[in-house]
Amino acid sequence: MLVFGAVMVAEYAVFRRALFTIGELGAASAALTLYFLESVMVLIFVLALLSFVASGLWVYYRARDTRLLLAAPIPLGGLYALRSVETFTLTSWPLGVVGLPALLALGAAYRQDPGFYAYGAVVLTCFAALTGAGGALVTTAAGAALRRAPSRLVVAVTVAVLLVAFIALVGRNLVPSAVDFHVMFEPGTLNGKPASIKFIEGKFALWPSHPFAAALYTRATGGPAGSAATGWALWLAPLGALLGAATLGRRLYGRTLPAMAESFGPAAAAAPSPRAAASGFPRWLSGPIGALIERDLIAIARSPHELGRAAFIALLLLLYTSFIVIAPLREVADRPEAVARLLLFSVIASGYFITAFGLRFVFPSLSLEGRVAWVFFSSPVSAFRLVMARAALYVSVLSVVVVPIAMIGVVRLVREPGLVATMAALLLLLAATTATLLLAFGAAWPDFREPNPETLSTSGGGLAGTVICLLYVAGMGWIARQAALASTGGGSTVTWLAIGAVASVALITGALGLARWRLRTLEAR
Amino acid sequence: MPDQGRSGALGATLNGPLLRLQHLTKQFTTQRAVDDLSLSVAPGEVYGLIGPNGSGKTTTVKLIAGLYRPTAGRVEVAGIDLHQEPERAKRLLGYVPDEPFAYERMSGREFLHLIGELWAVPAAERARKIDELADLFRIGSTLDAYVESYSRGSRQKLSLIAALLHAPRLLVIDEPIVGLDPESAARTRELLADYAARGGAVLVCTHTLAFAEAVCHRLGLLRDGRLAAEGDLPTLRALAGAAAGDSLEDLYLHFAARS
Repeated sequence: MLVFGAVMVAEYAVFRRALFTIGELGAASAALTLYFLESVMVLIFVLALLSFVASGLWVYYRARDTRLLLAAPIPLGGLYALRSVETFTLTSWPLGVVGLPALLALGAAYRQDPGFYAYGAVVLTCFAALTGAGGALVTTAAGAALRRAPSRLVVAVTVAVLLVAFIALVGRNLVPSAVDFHVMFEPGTLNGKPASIKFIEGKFALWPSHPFAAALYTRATGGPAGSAATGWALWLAPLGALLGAATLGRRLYGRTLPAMAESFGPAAAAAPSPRAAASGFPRWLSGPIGALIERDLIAIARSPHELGRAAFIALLLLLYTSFIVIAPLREVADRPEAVARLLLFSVIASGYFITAFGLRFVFPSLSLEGRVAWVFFSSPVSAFRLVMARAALYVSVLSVVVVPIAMIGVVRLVREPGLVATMAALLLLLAATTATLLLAFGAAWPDFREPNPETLSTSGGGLAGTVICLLYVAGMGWIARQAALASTGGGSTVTWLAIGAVASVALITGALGLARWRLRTLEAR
Repeated sequence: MPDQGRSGALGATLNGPLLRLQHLTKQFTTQRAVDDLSLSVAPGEVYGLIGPNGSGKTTTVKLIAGLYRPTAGRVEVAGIDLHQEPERAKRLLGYVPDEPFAYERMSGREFLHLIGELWAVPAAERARKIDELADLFRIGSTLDAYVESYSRGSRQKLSLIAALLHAPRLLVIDEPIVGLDPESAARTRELLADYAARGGAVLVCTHTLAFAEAVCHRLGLLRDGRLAAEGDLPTLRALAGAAAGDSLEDLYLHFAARS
């Protein structure tokens, strides 16, 4: 809640500043205000609908208590209403996080009275009804098309398809090009008249969010926007969507849920289920620790959810890599202070990726043994040996993935071999220390009852590990900067490398010592 | 109650008990789950731990399996202190938990190979034993499906096979036949009897009194973490002042009522 609150306050400040600036643009201000409102409403619509479908496919058809409620004397219509309310509550956050700050900023920029805010709240409520009912319709239609309870992979693919479709629509129709700006503003600039908003209305006319953006614009600026049909659509579209959800959506849900409830869980044992090759295990590693590590790897490889998270972090890494490759780093290579700052940035960016990956995959690894922890605890395998083996695995993976990418940027910036070697060593130390520290903290404070890695990462141990990692990463960035300055000043980088190494070794030793001490008294509770 | 066999391959080299609990105590934050509990299980013996819900049976089993650490007292497996030398002691121990959870995204066969690897059973030997035990429990056809698709009974069979895979000298089983079909329950009973006859020791914790009566040589009635009564059926009858034909259920109700 605190994070959402902080984001909303920050958005309000940015929107308010933007709208005040737009208001000072004279001829272009009305058109840009409408563009701002249309964009915000489209963003809310896309986010709310995607969230609804992503969560709804799970909540409507695979919630844990589905069988219990099906066995209870509750009509399917009642269950449908319950699932719709649950999903809407979970997924209406874009209205609060984006819509509310935008409404408040619009009111502040155009100095509106309380009546405006009341009207705005009504408009946003109607918009919420449209997105919620639309989401319920899309979800039940997708459910009817799938005919089986959706797996995580199916949910991910459905959301990805919708996302790509929305990106294509938004990218092709809504993102303004230079030609668009010319069409919008040039006549107004030449003759001093306000720029026409017709072009913008045309661009957004087919989006369901258009009547709501137009209504807020008209009320805030006093300028007319939208046709009579748009005015009617403001009230009739939510009403129609609600009626559709209450009739068609309800009928689709009632028809598909009973069949779907049979397609997952123990009742589906006789149905075809994923099968592994009937060969032995482990296939690639050997020994007890090797088997446990291989089990970790196949658990990630066979879970679309885990793969999705790993892919997201990989995507961020890919964006960072392309930035490093594209950025004109060689142009600043002869400016020592700029080089030092960029090396600092490179270390901090690498540390960010390692910490993000570590929090999601490394820190929770022992806790995620969960209800199967009995296997490990009753086996003749030392918990500390497993921690050490996992540390070796994650340090290797992170070193191989992150360090070469960071070194591409370093090599483009730095010609001095001593500084290049120092940076490589600092980045390796960074990967080793961060991964080991997060793993050790996860082993020292596991929670076998919590299955959610995100929740585990925000536990006391996770937060302590994150703070220490971030301070350490900042420290290593500063050391890299000092080493760069020393090198360009003709000095040696060895002192700075030694400081980094001592700090890293101290942290690794301390974290592993803590884990070893805690593991001696650890119970599978 | 069955006859007790004291000699066989599994317990041949040991004279003392395979399991000994000495003044075992487990204190949770506000509750003493196990209170100064002492008992022993000899080679060739099946020992049944019975008692009402919350009497400390599962906590005792988890202490023996190494999942919990005792607040006081000792657990010895074949004379080895479990908490001083856990790796040595656990090599001799097979454990079936009350809830047979296994890794959902592994096949049953992969899971069993993992267990075999943890207990250092050679690959060829474990492959043979997996097939043998899978045939015995009639689970072969589902063994290559992911565990997430298994029924409660199939999961129970999987954990029973996992516990037997490395031929442990001591078996600790929490609710052995929950979820099993009658045929598999009968096979489990025969298997445990055969296992004990070959010199292994078994500690069974169960609410199924007919099963306990059929398979256990001695029984311990646990109440509030303490042994309220212990012995074979004739001893328990004598303690209760019951008639010769009284069943274990009659005795259980007698001791429960006395509490």
